[in-house]
Amino acid sequence: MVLINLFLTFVKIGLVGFGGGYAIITLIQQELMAFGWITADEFANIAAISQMTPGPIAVNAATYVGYRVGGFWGSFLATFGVSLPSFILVMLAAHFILKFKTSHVVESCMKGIRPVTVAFIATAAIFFALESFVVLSPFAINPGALVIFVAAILVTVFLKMNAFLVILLSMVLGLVLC
Amino acid sequence: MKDSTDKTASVESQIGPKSKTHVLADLFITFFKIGAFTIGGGLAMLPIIEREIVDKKQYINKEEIVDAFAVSQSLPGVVAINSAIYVGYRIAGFAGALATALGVILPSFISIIIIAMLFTSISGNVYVEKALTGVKAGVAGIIACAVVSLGKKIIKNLFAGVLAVVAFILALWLDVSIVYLVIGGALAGYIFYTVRRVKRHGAD
Repeated sequence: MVLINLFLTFVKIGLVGFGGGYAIITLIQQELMAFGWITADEFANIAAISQMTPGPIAVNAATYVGYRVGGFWGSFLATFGVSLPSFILVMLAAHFILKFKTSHVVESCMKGIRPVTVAFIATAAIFFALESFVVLSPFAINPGALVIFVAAILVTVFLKMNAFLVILLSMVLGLVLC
Repeated sequence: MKDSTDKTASVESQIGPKSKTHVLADLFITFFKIGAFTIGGGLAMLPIIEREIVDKKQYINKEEIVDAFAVSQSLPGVVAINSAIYVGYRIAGFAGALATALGVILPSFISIIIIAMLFTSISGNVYVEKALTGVKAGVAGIIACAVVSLGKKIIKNLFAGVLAVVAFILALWLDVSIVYLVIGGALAGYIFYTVRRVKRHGAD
């Protein structure tokens, strides 16, 4: 039955998908094309829509693909399936870390992991910069997007502006300046 | 459910006079907003979680939000859902994890179903592209601010500074996966702080 297969496929994707939205989208493509549920053209469209719609890319893709394959229940089962392994694994990890956070082993490991994670978040800022106002080869700057970047920093630091409002204003300014 | 109430008992004392239902509703609404404003992947979500859950509501501290992110990136699954579950579980146990996960998923679910019913293609629309470029530039700015505020709290000694610089170079230029960086960071932390502890005890 298609719905059961769809659910199991997305449980598998949730269980083996590492490394954020784009990596998971590739995995969804491989799995679903193997079933013949979706063509390459349809998939390119799904990937574009998932990036442009609010919400995490992988959740968007799962919902959309599920809808195309099995209507409302298809999208429900795909999204539920892709989140199910997260529930089990993340709660186990959180439980373990909270329980042993005062032990020397866990505490010293976490003290090593935190600086690494902050560095990784810094690379995310560069990733978004490369997607918006900097082009590397040939080197070019999108001046409108650069203005938005600087303005976002200024209003966050000096006005402590709500992050949701900053994103909303960036979107409006993007229409005018970019 | 019985065993999750034990775990949340200590958590509730930090939350103060707010009732559990109030906290769950607050978590759901906050993560619903986060889901609705996350454009372009889970990484865009982190600075918003930091501002809303750590700075404004003070449910957890800066170290814990970094831990949540490290765990979310190192485990399989969607980063946004993983972070929501970690934060929800930490604040209010299993019920909290359910509230945050549902909250972060629902905006996607609703908007995608509407789009799937109405349109077959929105890619290539020039206004959508412009708005998206603006959002990404703004998100780059918010993330840069989050890095500075988290860095001030986390990078307090030379060891942490060196680790951060090495990890940054490995991730950016050599494209090393976060999973290996986290394992490497854990090993380095364990060795460094164990050696330091042994030395201190030796000196006594």
